[in-house]
Amino acid sequence: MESPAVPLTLPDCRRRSRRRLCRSAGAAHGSVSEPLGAGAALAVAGALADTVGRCLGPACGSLLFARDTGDVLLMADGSRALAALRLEHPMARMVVDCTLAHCAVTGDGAKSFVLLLASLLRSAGLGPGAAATALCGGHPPTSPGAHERRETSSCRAFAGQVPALQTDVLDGIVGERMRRHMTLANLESGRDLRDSTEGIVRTSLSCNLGAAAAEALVPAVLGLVFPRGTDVPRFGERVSFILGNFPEMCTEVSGAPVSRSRCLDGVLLRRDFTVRPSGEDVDGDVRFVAVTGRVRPLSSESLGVTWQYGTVSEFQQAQLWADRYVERFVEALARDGVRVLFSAVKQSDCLLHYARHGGLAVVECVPAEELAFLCDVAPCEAPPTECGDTVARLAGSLTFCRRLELGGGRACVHAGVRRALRSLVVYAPVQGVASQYAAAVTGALKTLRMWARPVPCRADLRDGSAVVPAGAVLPAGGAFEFLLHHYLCEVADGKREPLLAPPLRQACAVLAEALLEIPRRLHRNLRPDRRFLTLLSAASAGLRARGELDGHLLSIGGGVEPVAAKLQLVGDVLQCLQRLLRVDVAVRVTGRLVDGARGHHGDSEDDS
Amino acid sequence: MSSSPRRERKLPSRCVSDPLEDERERGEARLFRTLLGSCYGPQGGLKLLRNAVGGPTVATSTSAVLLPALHPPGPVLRLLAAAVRGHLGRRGDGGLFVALLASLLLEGGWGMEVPPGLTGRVQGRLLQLCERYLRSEECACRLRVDLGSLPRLLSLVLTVLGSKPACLLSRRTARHVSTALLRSFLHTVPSSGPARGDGGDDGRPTTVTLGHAVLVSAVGPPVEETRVLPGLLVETPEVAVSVAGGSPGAEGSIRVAVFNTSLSGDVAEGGERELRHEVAVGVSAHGATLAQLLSLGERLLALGVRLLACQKVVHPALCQFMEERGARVLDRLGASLVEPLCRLTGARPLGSLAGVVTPAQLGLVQGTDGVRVGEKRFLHLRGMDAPAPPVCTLVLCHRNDAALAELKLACQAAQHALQALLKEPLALFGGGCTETHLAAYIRHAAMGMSEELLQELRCSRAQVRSVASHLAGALEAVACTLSQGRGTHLVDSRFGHLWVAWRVALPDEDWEAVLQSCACGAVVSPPPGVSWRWLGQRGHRDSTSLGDEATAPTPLLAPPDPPPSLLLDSFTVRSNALQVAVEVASLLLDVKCTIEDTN
Repeated sequence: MESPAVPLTLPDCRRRSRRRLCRSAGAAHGSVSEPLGAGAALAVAGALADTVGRCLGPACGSLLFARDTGDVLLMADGSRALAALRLEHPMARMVVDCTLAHCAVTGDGAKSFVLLLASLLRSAGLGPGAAATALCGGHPPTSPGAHERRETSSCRAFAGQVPALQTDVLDGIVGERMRRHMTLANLESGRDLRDSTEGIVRTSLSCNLGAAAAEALVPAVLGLVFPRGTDVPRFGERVSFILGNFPEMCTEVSGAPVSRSRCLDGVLLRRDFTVRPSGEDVDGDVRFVAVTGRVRPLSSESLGVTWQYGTVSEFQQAQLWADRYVERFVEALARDGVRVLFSAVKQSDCLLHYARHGGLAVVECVPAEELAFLCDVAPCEAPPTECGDTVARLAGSLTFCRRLELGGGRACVHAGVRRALRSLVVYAPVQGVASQYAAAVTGALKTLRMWARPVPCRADLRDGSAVVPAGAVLPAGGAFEFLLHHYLCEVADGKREPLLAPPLRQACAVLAEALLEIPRRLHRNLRPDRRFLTLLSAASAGLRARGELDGHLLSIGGGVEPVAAKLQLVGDVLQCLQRLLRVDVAVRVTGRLVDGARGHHGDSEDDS
Repeated sequence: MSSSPRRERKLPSRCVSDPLEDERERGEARLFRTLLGSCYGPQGGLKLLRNAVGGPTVATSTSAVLLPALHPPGPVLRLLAAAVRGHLGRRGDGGLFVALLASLLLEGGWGMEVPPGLTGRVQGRLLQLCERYLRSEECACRLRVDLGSLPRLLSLVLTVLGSKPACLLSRRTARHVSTALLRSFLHTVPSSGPARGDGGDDGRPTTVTLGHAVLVSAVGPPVEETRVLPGLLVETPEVAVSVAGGSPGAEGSIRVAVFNTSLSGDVAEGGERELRHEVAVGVSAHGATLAQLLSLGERLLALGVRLLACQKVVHPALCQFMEERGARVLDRLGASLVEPLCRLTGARPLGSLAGVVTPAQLGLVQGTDGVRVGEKRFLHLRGMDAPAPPVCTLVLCHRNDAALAELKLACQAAQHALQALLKEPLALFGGGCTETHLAAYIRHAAMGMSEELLQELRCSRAQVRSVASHLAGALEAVACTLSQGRGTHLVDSRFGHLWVAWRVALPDEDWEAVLQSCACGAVVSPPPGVSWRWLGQRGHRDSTSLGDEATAPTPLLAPPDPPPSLLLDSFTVRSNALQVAVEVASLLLDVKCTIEDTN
C-alpha cells in the first residue's frame, strides 16, 4: 500500500501524534515553522524502532532495500539499514545521525539504540503520575492540549536529570555493584584472549548476519586478528590497525557461496599484472619499486618546461632520447634486482615493452591507498638512485608476489610481506550481500576494539580507577539491561545509601523501566513461545536470593558482549534524548544549508 | 513559497513487511518460476524476447541471455536474478538450475510451519552435509573423468550442447560439433607438465598454462562444416587477399613481428601532458613521426620480417611501404587475438617504435593461406610443426544467425566445463539423477541427525525432517522439470536414480517393462528387487510422506559399470550452483521487511 506523505507506518503511537506528524510531514504551504514536542519525538522513534527492531537478535531476519538505481541491498545491520532510509522528518534524521555516530565508535547496537530511545521516551512521557502532577503544578489535565503539554513537560523534566543520572548513579552502579557479575578475560593469556575474542566475534556476527555466513566468517576474522595463531602483545593496537586499513585488507568477490571465504597471508591488491612475472612464480626475496607518476625524463607539468624543435631531426632525436631514458630506467631497476614495479597510474607502452623484455613484472593503476598500505607494511628503503627523475618512488622487498585467480575472469596480485599480516577474502552470491558481510566484519572489529580498552571514570570525586576494566563481558541476551534495571530499581526505591533527591530517583525509575524493552524484544523475536515475564521474575528472584544472575535464563546461544559497549549505548541514548527534547520548533528554510561544523553543504529537502 | 521548477519532491519508499506473505510478490515468484522452468533442459521451450520500441528479437532458452533481459519488479526477485548472474559470471552454465531451485525453496518456505529463519539455518546445515558427501570418496553419484577417458568427455560436452535446444542441432550434428570442440580443447592442453593443474584460489605455486582455442563463427554454411583448424584465423577484407596472392605460401617459414602499440603515427597536438613541445614553422611533427615509422619498417624488413601484425591501427603509408616490398600487414587485431598470436608464433609483443628489434623478439609461422568460410574471408596462419604450439581455431557454422549465437554461447559453456575438469576431474550424473540421489541422501541424513546438531540448531527433530523433506522435494521437482510435464517419474531405492516412463504399460506386460534405462543412462535396466517411489507432477508437495522416512533406507550405491556414453554434468558448476541457490533462498527467507525506492 502506498502510504501518504509519511514515509514509514507508525503503528504504535497515539493517534493525535500521528495526525500531527502527518500534517507536519505533508505539504506545509504557508507555515514556516512548526512546534515539535515529545509526541513527535516518540512517534519518530517508535516508527524507526518498529522498522529495525524486528530484526534484533541472532539470525532474526534482515531488511531488503531496492534502490531506484536497480541495486538491491540486503541488510541485517541496523546502522546500514538506518543510513539507507530516505527520511522526511527532521527529527528522524537527527535520531539516525546520533545512531550512526554511536555505531561508528562501538560498531554495533543501532537496533538497541532506537529501541531504547523509543521506550525511554514512552516511559518518560507517561511518567509516574505523582511526579508529573507535581511538576505541572498539581492540576489534573482537562483541556485537549493538556495531555501533550504534560507529556512534553515530564519528558523535559527527565531530560533535566540526565547529567546527574550519568555521573552520580550509572558510574557507581556499573563500576561497583555490577562488577562482580562481569567476567573478566585475561588479556595477557593467549588462549583466554583467543577464546574471548571468538565469543565476542561470534555474537556480533550472528546478530548482524545469517547463521551460515556468521559460521563461515568467524574463523576468517580470527585468522585476521591473530595472524600467528595466538598473539598476545598489542592486541588493541593490532585491532585498531586492521580497522584503519580495512578497505585494503578485505577483498569482496561475488558469485560464490560464503563458505569459501578465508584469510590469506600477505596483502591482496585489487589489480592484476599488466606484465606478468616471467618464468616461475616470483618467490624468495622480491624487491619492488612503487612509482606514483608516469616514467618520463622530465615532467613538463611540474617544471613548466616546453621543448622547442627547429628541425625534423631534433624532433626525432627527442623522441629517441625519451625512449632511451625509459630503457635505461628499466635496466637500472634490473641491475638492482628489482622484479616488480607497482604504478599508481597507467604507464606508457614503451615502459611496458622494456619491462616485458627485461623480465620486470608491472602492476598498473594501483589505487593510491593500497600502494601506501603496501609500502607501509613491506619494509621500505631508500630508492635506487641510478636514474634521477621527478617521479616519487619507494623501494621495498616482499617474500613473494604472485597472481591469484578469484574466479569469473577476475585476478589479483597476492604479495607476501615479512610482517605477520593477513588479508580477508569475502565471498557472497551477490555484490550487495558481500558488502554487507564486510560491513559486519568491520562492526565486529570495532566491538573488539571497544572491549579491549577500559572505560575511564567521569567524575572527579572518585579515585582514578576505571568504571569498566578492559576485557569485561557479560552474557548476551539482556543480562546487562536486567542487572542495571535491578540496581536502578533499588536506588529508586531508596534502598541504598546515599539517599538521592526524589526527582533523580524518579529518573532512575523511568530508566529502569525503559531498559527492559531490549531483552523483551530480543526474547520475543527468538522464542515467541516463552513468556518474558516468567523469565524476568525467575531471574530477579535468583538475584535477590543468591546475589548472582543465573546465566542460562537470559542468555541466548552462549554469546557474550562487552560491557563497555553497553554502557556507551546507554550514555549515547541519554544524550540523544536530551538533544531531541531540547528541540521545540522546526524551521523550514529555502536554499541550501551550510553546516559550519562539518564544513559541507547539507541538503534541504523540506522546501516545496 | 516559490517552488523551483527543477526540484521534484521525492516519493516516499514503499515498505512491505514479511514480503513472502505478500500476494503480489508470491504471484511474481510463481510466474518467474514457471517461466524459467519451461526453458529448462533439452525439451524446454524457447522464449521470444522483444521490446516495444524496436530492435532485434531473440529466441533463446539460455539464462545468460534471458536474465539480463528480464527486469523483475520486486526486490526479492531482483536479488535472485543478481545471484544467478553472479553464478553465471563465475561458472558459465547452470543459471536456470539456480533460479529454479531457489524459487522452489522460497515458494515452499512460506507454506511451512517452521519459522523462516530456522528453515534457512537448517537448510544451510543440510547443504553442508551434502557438500561433504559430494566431496567424499564414498559419494555414489559422481564419476571420475580425466583426460584419458574420451567417451566420458564427449558425453559431458554432448550434455552441455544438448541442454540448449535453440542451437537446432540434430543428434548427428551435435556429435560432430562436440567432437570438434573436444578436439580443440585437447589441442590446448599441454602434453607434458604436472598431471593435475592447480594455480587456483589456494595459491599453490603449480600452474598449468593452457593454450588458446579461439571461436570463430560464420553464418551460412551448414553445421556439418564446423571444424578445427590448427593455428589462427585472422579476418581480412576481400581485396587484400587477392593483392597478397604473391605472399609466400608453403615454402620456408615466415618471420612475424607483433606490435601491441599503435603504429598510426598520431602525435598529440602540442605533445603529451608531460612532454610539451612546440615545433618551428615548416617542421611537421606528423611527417617526422611517419619518417620514424618508415625507418622502423626498413629495420624490420632488414631482419627478414614478412608479416607485420599490430593490435591497433597501422599508418596506411607504412602499410603500403611494407606491401610494396613483399611483406604483409595485419592491423586492428584487437587485444583478444594478440595473445594467441604470440603463443602461436613465439613472438614477444613489441611496444616501442624507437627500440632495437632483435631476432629473438620475432616469431615464425609455417605458412599462410587464404580460407573462405561462408561469406567471410580469413587469413590462416599455421604454426611451426615442431614443437606444435597449443593454439587452434574452432570454426562454428550454422545456417541461421540466431542459432549460431546460441551455439557460440553453448560452446563457451562447454569450454568452461572442460577447463574446470582440469582442476577437479569429476562429473555428476545428469538428466536429474544426481538431484534425486541427493534428495534421498538428505532425507536419510535428516533421520540420522545427532542430538548435538539439534541442540546447536535449536530445533526439534520433526522440524529438521520437515525442512529436509522440503529441500529434497524441491530437488526432485527440479529433476522432474526436465521432462516438461510429460511422463511418469520414479526413483529407485538402490541407486537413487530417476526413471521416466514415457508410455503406459500394456495389459499383459509387467509394468517395469516400460522403463528402459535411468534418466542419465548409467543403469541400463530396472534393477530387480528394489522398491520404487512415485514423484507427483508437483513433486515437492506429493512426495512428502512420513511413511518413507520411518523405514531407515540403506545407503545408496553407485551404479556398477556405467556405459561409456551417458548424460554427465560438470561437478564444479553443479556444486557451485547448488550452494548459491540454497544460500540465496536462505537469505531471502530471512527477510523481514522490504523497502523499495519508487522514484
